[in-house]
Amino acid sequence: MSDVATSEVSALELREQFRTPEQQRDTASIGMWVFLITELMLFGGLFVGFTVYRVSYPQAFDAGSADMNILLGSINTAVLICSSLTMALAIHGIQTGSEKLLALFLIATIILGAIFLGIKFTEYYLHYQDHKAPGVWFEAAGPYAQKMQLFFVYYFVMTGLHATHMIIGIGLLSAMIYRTMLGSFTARYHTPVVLAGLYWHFVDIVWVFLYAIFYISGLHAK
Amino acid sequence: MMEPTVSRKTYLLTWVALLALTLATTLIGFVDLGPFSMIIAVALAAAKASLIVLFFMHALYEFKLVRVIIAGGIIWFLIFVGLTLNDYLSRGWLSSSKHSQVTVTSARGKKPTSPRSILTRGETL
Repeated sequence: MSDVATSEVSALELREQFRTPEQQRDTASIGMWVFLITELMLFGGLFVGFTVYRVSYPQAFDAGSADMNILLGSINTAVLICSSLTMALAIHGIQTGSEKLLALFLIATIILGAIFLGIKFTEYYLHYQDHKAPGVWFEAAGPYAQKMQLFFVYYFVMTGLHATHMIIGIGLLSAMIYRTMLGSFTARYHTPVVLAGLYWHFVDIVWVFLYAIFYISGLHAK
Repeated sequence: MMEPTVSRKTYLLTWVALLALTLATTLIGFVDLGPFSMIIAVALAAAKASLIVLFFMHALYEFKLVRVIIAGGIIWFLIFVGLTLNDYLSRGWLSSSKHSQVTVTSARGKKPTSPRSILTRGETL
């Protein structure tokens, strides 16, 4: 059984510790999901911290949220959702055997990711100009000015950690493009692309929640 | 198990649904719903996250062990949130009763801080 399976695929596609390509794929899949759960716990701690302070100082956090740039935030959400679609289509491309589609959609995903980061850093710059950088330059008026700093600390730490993940994701996808150019991926073997895709989608999910907690609650106060 | 494949049509429908939910999140945000604005925003975000996990990340088509791992992670996170809020939201509930005066006194006899002080608004950091 195992001899038949190994003779059909090259050594690159099936490592010696696995019996079949399916077993190898399942193992990789489980490993990636367990890693993503640890990532969920990493971001989860920050989300819980935010929730505790948001529950404690709701008015101050709404006042902080009112200073968000909803236009740039919404565009960024749409950009990331589109990048998730191109990522999914890249995997669909190689599943149907097209290395060209895989490379093209990976490049599209990276471009959308770069657009996201560009808009995100523009937002950071606007917050700085608005004197909303706690510890560096923070000025706010009103009864909730002091607690608004907490909101912005969470904002910068959480979106900053997310942006770091985006940069790592772009690095991963670049490595996938390089390996595509080397001809490593076929319709039968392309597990690394699928795993990089899982990471990319996870980072997208984190942003979906960041958008919901930071941008929305202060909108009506504008 | 063979790798799950999802049709291009499913991906496109998921994408359209995600954009529609984003638009809904933003538009509902302009209405003043008090504390519910955050709850609705997070609920819509959870719906979007489910779509991404189920279709883009193929969780719907994966084998059982992967689905158990995902469910385990989410349930563990909900315990994390639930028990933390259970603590913070219930602080001060008993501060007006006689029992709390007994229970919050520390063993070393130092004057304990009021449980309510955690949630007092307007104090300095």
